[in-house]
Formats: sequence, C-alpha cells, structure tokens
Amino acid sequence: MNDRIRRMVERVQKEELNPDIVQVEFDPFDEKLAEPMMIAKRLTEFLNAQKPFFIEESHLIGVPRLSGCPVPGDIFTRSGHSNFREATARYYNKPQENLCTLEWQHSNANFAKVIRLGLNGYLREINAARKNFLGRRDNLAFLAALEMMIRGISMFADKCRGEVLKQAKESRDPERRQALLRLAESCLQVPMNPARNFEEAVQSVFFCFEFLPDSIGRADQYFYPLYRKGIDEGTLTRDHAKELLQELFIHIHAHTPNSSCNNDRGAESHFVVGGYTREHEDGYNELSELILESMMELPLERPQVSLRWTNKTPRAILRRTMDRERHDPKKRIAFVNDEPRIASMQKINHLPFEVACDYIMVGCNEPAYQGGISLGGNTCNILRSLLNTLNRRRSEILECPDFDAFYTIYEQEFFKDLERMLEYSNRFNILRSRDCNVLSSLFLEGCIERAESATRGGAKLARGGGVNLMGGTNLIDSLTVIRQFVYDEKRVTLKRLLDALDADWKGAEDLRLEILRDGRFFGNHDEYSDSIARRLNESLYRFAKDRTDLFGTPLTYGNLTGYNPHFAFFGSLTGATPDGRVAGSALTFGSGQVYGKELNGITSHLLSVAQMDPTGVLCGNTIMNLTVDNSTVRNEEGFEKLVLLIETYFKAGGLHIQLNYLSREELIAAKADQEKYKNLRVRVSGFSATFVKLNESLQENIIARTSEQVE
Amino acid sequence: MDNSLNSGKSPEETAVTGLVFDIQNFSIHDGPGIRTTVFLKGCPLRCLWCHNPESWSAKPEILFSPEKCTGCGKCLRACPNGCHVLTEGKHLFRRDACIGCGLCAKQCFSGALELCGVPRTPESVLEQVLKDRMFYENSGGGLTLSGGEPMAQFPFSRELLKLAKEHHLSTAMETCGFAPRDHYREILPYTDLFLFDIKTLDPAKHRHFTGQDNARILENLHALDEAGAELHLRCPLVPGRNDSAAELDAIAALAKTLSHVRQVEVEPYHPMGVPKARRLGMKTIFEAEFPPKELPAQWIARISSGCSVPVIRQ
Repeated sequence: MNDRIRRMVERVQKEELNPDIVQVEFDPFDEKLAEPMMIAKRLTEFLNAQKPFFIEESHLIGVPRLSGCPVPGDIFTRSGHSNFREATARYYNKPQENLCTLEWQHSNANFAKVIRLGLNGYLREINAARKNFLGRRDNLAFLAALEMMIRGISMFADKCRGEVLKQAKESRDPERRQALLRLAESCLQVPMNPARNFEEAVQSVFFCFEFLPDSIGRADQYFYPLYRKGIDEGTLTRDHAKELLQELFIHIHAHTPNSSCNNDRGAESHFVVGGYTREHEDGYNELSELILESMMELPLERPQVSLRWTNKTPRAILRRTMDRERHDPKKRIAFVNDEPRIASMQKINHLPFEVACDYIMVGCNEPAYQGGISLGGNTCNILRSLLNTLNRRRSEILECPDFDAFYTIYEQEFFKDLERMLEYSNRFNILRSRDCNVLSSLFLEGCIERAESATRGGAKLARGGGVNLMGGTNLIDSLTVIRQFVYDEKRVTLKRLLDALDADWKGAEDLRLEILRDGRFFGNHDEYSDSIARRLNESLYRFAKDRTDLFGTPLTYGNLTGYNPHFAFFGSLTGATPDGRVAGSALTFGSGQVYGKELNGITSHLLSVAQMDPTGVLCGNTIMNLTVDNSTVRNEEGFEKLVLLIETYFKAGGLHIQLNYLSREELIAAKADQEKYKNLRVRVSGFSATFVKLNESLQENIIARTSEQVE
Repeated sequence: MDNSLNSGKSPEETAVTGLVFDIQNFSIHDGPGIRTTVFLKGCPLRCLWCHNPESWSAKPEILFSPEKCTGCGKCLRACPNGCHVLTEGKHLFRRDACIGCGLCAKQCFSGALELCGVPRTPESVLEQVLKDRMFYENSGGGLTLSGGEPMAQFPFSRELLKLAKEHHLSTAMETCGFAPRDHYREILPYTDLFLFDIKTLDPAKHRHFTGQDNARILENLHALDEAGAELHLRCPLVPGRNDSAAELDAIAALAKTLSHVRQVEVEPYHPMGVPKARRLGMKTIFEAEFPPKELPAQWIARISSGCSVPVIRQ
C-alpha cells in the first residue's frame, strides 16, 4: 500500500471518518402525503443536508453513513424503520418458547446494475413499470417515491461534485488538483449514468455504498470488464486500480463506528471472489487476485471475503488463497463450494443457473443474491423437538418396538417445531412489512417491477426462511445413541435412559460415560450416524419442499450462530440429552468439531459433513469451522497437504469451510492472559473476532472444538 | 474394478491377523500426499527416546491412567487374574499378572484403563483405510505402515501391502531396518516407499541407544537400495545424544552413497512418549531437552551441506 493509503488507514483506525449527522426539521404537512412519498421527500431533504463522506487525500467521494436518520433509510441497519425496531426490541436475542429468536437480516444492492445502467436507467425502468399499475395508487405512489429518491440522489451527487471542485480550486498541490479534477469529472457521470471506466465504476459503488451498506457482491465480476479495458488501453495501471479498491475498502470499514460493539467483528460486510460465470466457467480473474491482494495489505477487520470454489478452480488459486488466509492476522477469508450451493439454489429455490451463479456470500457466511434480500435468518433450537418427543410423547415412545417407530414419532415433533419456527419468521416479517422502505428498495431487484417496498414483498431475489438450527449435531448424536444403545445393542432400556435424562445423569454417571466412550457419533464417517444425519435432512427437505414463507420464498436451513451466543442461551434452557449433554450446557452449532467426538480424525469428519445433505436443504447459512493444529502447517509440505485436504472435501460435496490455525494450549493461555493475546483473531461462527473480546461461552466453545487430533 | 475385499482368498490367507494399536488418517508426514498410517505393535529395538513405547511389546497391553479412575470397581470384577486392587481409595494395577485380555478396559467408561493393541485382519484394516480413498486420489497419498516395527508382524504386513496394491493404493512402510533380508525382498513388489530409520551410524552408540547392533540394519538398507527401492532416510535426532557433527556428516555421506534416497527427514525429539511410558508403568523414563529451538535448522544445514537430496524437518 502506498503512503497515501497508509495515512488513510491510520485515520480510519483511530477516528470516526463519517461526518456527524445533521438533523433536519421536516415540514409537518409531509404527513399528508402518501407514505412512500413522504419518506422519499424527507429522505431527500435529509440526504442533501448531510456532508459528503470525503476523507482528506481521498480520490473518491460518497454518501455518508445515514444511521440516525429519522425516516426509513438503509434497510440493513434499519435506520428509521420504527416497526422493525419494535420487533427487534421484542424478539432480538430473546428466545421465544426456547425455540426461536429474531436475528440479523441482510439485503444487498445490485451494484453491477448501478454501474451498467446508471440511475438514469432506473428512471427508465420506473417509467416502464408505471403502465403496469395504472389506477393502483399505492404502487404508483411508490414508483413516484423511487423517482423522487433518484432525483434526490442526483442532487447529492452534484453537491459532491461542487465540494470536489472547490477543493481542487483551493489545492496548491498540482498532483492533488489533477486527481480532484478527474474525480469531479467522474461525479458528472456517475452514479446517474453508466460508468465508462474503472475509476468511475469504483466511484459509483463508493458513492452508493451507504444506501445499502452491506455486501458489495461480486466485485471481481462487475468491475472486471472496465478493469480489463483500462489495462488493455493503457489508461489504468494495476497500482492505481489497487489504490481505488483500497479506498473503497476503507470506506466500507468506516461504516461501522469504532465505538460500535460490532467494530471488532468482521462480518458486517462480506463479499465474494471467483465462482461460476454465466458461461459456466470459473470466474476467478486478475481482478479477483488484485482484490485479495489489496484487502490483505490493509490491516482492517472489514470487509470479509469468501472464495467461491468450483470444480474448475485451478489448484494454484485455492492454494494461493489459503496461503493468504493463513497469513492474514485479521482472519478475513472463508471458502465456499459452488457445486452444492448452485445445485440447491436451482433445486430448492427454483432459480435458473444464470441467476443462481450470481449468488454471493454476506454477513456471517450467508448465501444471498446481488440485489436480493435475505429474510428470516432466525436462530432456532432444534433440540427442543427431541425433548418434546421424550417428555410429551413418553408413553407412546416407550411402546416403540424399534428405532423406525421411534423416529416416526420424533418426526412429528420435528415438523411441529419447524412449523412453529416458520410462524415466528412470518410474524417477524409481518411486523417488518409495516415499514415502507424507499431508499434501499431502489437497489433491490424486483421493487421497481413490483412497485413495492422490499419490506412488503417487493424484492424478488429473496432467500427465505433462512432458519439457523442450533443443536443440529446434538440431535444427530442423540438419535444415534437412542438407536444404538436402546434398540440395536440393547445396552439400556429407553425407560432407564429417560430416567437418567430426567435426573440430569445423576446416579447414571456410568451410563453417560459409556455413551461418551462408545457412542457412534457423527463426524466419524461412520454410516451408522451419517445415515441418521441424512435421514434428518431428508425429513427437513420433505417438510420444506414446495413450502414458502409468507412472501412466497422457498425455505432453506442452515446452522450458523450469529453475533449472539444463541447456542449458549438456548442450551441454558434445554434439559439433558441422550448424546451425553448435561442440562443447561451449550448446544452445538455449525457442522464443526464437537468436543472431541470425532475420534476418527479430520478426513472422516470432513467426509461425514460433505455427505450429510444430499437434498441440499441445509444449503442455507451452513458453516463448517475447522481448527487445525498449528503443527500441521509447520512446514510447507504440511500446508500443501492441507490445501489438498480442503480441495478433496469440496470435491466430495463439502459446502463451506473456514479455518483456524491454533493449538488448544494457545487458546487456554489466551483466555488466561488477555493482555498477551490481545491481537489473536479467530473464526467464530460466520465472523471472525478478537479472541479475548469474545464472551466466555464462545471462548469455551472454541477451546472445546480445538481438539481435532492431527498427525 | 473389483472392490470386494475377500475376492479369491482362501480361509487360511484371510486368517492372518495383526495387532494394530492405532490407525491415523490425514497423516501428512509419512510419505507423499494425504495418507493413513496403520500402527502395528511389536518392535525389536528399544530406543531410549521412543515416542511410541506402547508399540514395543508384541502383545496387547493395558494403558493405565490412575487419575481418571472413578473407583467404580467394575475392573475388579471383570479381571480374570485379579490384577486390579482397590485399597484405601487407591487403584493398584498388577501389570505382571495381566494377560492383556482387555476385559477390564471394556468396563472402564472413564478411560482410566485402555487396551492398546487389537487383532485385526488385513481386510478389515484395508476397508477402513479405503474410506479415505478420495483424499489419496486427489493428493497422491495412500497407506503407510508404521509401528512399532511393521516387519515384526511380517505375514500381516505382507498381506496388507499386497491387498492395498490390489486396490491400487500407494504404499509406504516406516521401518527400523531390523528384520530378515528375505522379508524385505518379499514385500518389495508391494511397497512404493520405505521410510528407513537411521538412529545413528555409530555402532557402539546404536547398541547403547537401541539395544541392537546396526550392521544388519545397514545391510538391509544397502540391499533395498540395490534392489531399486525408493527410500527416505528418517533420522530421529535427540539433542546431545545423536546429533554430533560427525553423526550428521555420516548421515549425509550415507545418503550420498545410496542411489535411491530421495529425501532425508529430520525428526527432532519430542516428549510425546513420556505420558504413554507412565501409563505403561515403565520404571525409567527418558527425557531430553525440548523444544530443540534452533537446533533442527542447524542439523538440516549440516546434513544438507554433505549430500544432494532435500533434507526436511518432519
């Protein structure tokens, strides 16, 4: 990174770069307007009262963070969305019935379209949409509001240009003046018109980022044609492109205030490189490489990025990216596999390949679409259904002659809870639909065409349901234990096992130890438990098949935990379970390591995980954390083999993986000596964070899963 | 390809069993690619620093961790020889009377008693090894036999290697070199790589450290080299014991003399064997300086300067 970028990085690390919000007094008579019109009018006034985001020495200028805006602004931080704020107050991080909570949600602007069409192109789309809604006042008002919003944005772009010209005039440094004049020219073109070169493309995204400050999507794809053109024509150098990208990343980083509790966590803006193109080729290109290189030079937590691996990804690219990842102290890179993901989007979300191939990764490793919205994302306790079976259906299960009969009853309880989770998801979305969003909706696919706010079903590229199941591995292991110990090996009667659970294993400590020692647990590439994992996922698929949420979006499931330790607080309310878990202890999340139950080692574990979901129903927010002992990579030969391990896992169908290189001793030491390890960053669930800043339950969880025996 | 494991085997052939004490997948330091290493019990050497002392005896043994004992007393009832005694809340294990039947360990859920060494057929071991076939195929890896000394269970090792070859697996064997020369000749067609241990080339020191002379070992090494076997020389180095300049130079000279040595591997001493030796009730336990800090880099530099093959740390 050059000195100019270095100075900007230093600034973003210690100062708040976004200007203070300027509050505006709105005309009370606005309330007489149709709701979207009122929002657009006020938002336009609000936006144009703000100072641009324009850091000293910067070559790019844009909209500042709009948090604190009293009318609905960006949909990601839900600034101004009063109904959703109410829903959050009631449900966020508050487990309902020990089953559900409301969790973070994502929406992602289609920046590819902004660059391609410019906002004038959006105006044409709005005009075209009008004739489909003749006589429908609400829809027409919404379209009018979108148009007003674009006019407001255009005004702000002019304001930015004015500011740039003013500074150019004042600048005594000829080089700086030159850069500012170029920027002023860009401001004349974008975001209203299509970007003509790479510089304008980056300026366009930089300018618009705060309208939906989430993922920037497939930047290596949508920037590439103009990057290529610039390089080929000799109008752009690689170094200049890098500077521009780095400025964009600094802007993204600055979105989360240093004072925010999320500042340390890197998941607020996550995007992708690589992956299939529409032509079914691997899309990793020179720009993907430059993007990663630019990011890794910046010592910043955000953005994070996933490499989308395909069957056509050259091994050298996976190797180079894993090499970057292992040397990245900020732990920003994760790895996802296009093969199962795109297949599931085609099968479950009924999307054609051309659309599915443009999926992105956002937030805590959640699949999404450019210009799409992810509804749901709610975190649920799947182990409750098993306890309901054991407790409420006790007389029936005690009569079961075999495991199949038991499973039939279990499945009924499973479906009941899945139904209830869906009810909750829909309830959150109903609350949310009371808010009207104009600004972010503009950048989401479908809202113009449907003339409807994204909160009210306007967005057509939606990831629905998005339920994150906590305790998935506990559930597989518990069912395995019931089948093995009660029905197949007849080591214990179901009655005795239930008594032991009722007593939280008191007086049955031996039974618990026997289970922990001899249980054929998941993650050992043992068909016994692997088949139970598949059976559960097939049940889940049968439940979800052809069902949708209230907006008509097909349901998918995952297993990550978000920023909150849901697995711990659900666990604290959940009784003892047959897998040897004691009452109140944390549930498992992800498909990752479970307190040393994967005795057959890393390859067996990866194969169990890779093959657990043939239907693809678990292709939602599913994560796999792999903690690799430092000693594995103590020489290059070990690292090469780790690359092959991950590549084979993907070839076997593995969906996602993120790595930690740690030793258990190191983590225990870090927990004890926070000062010494204050910079140690780890991958947690979908995000990475500084280990010593995590709460104790997450620290314990990470230590517990750092037990995979390698070598 | 025929994947059935018992195809064409007479009952006598399949009756061979080996005493296996561990099978580790994702072995990355035991030959090329991602491998699965099968550890066999029994070794003719008694290296002072051995990190697998549980592999010495060719019989099943009990590993005993008294700190894990909950005092449940199940082992007392299970043991046919009365090896377990509980006195004043203390669990005493009379190892001399133990026949390694494992009945006590079966009852011990806390893990205080564990049986080390389970008889397995080559077919059942191969079946387990083949589960990771995808990893071998993608990485050029395969099966490695280790121990103990795999040649100490020659009939089993031969069968397993043969079977692996029938299934087109890459095969490697880590060996201390102390076995009949004919046996090496016999397994040569089924073994792609030998990880051949060189403890020291000083005969007197060798006798002192391992309990055996190294003449036979070196004869076997030369014979394998002459027969065209692929070789890696594997050198466990213990600070102050077998890492003198003269010994390092001798390793380099040996590597230079032989035609088929592809690599020299330096294995710095680590004390992983110490807790296992305690669990085996061993009286004298060897410990050396650890971690070796910058020594391995110096060893590698010294050996590298005297030979032309890569010298790496394992």
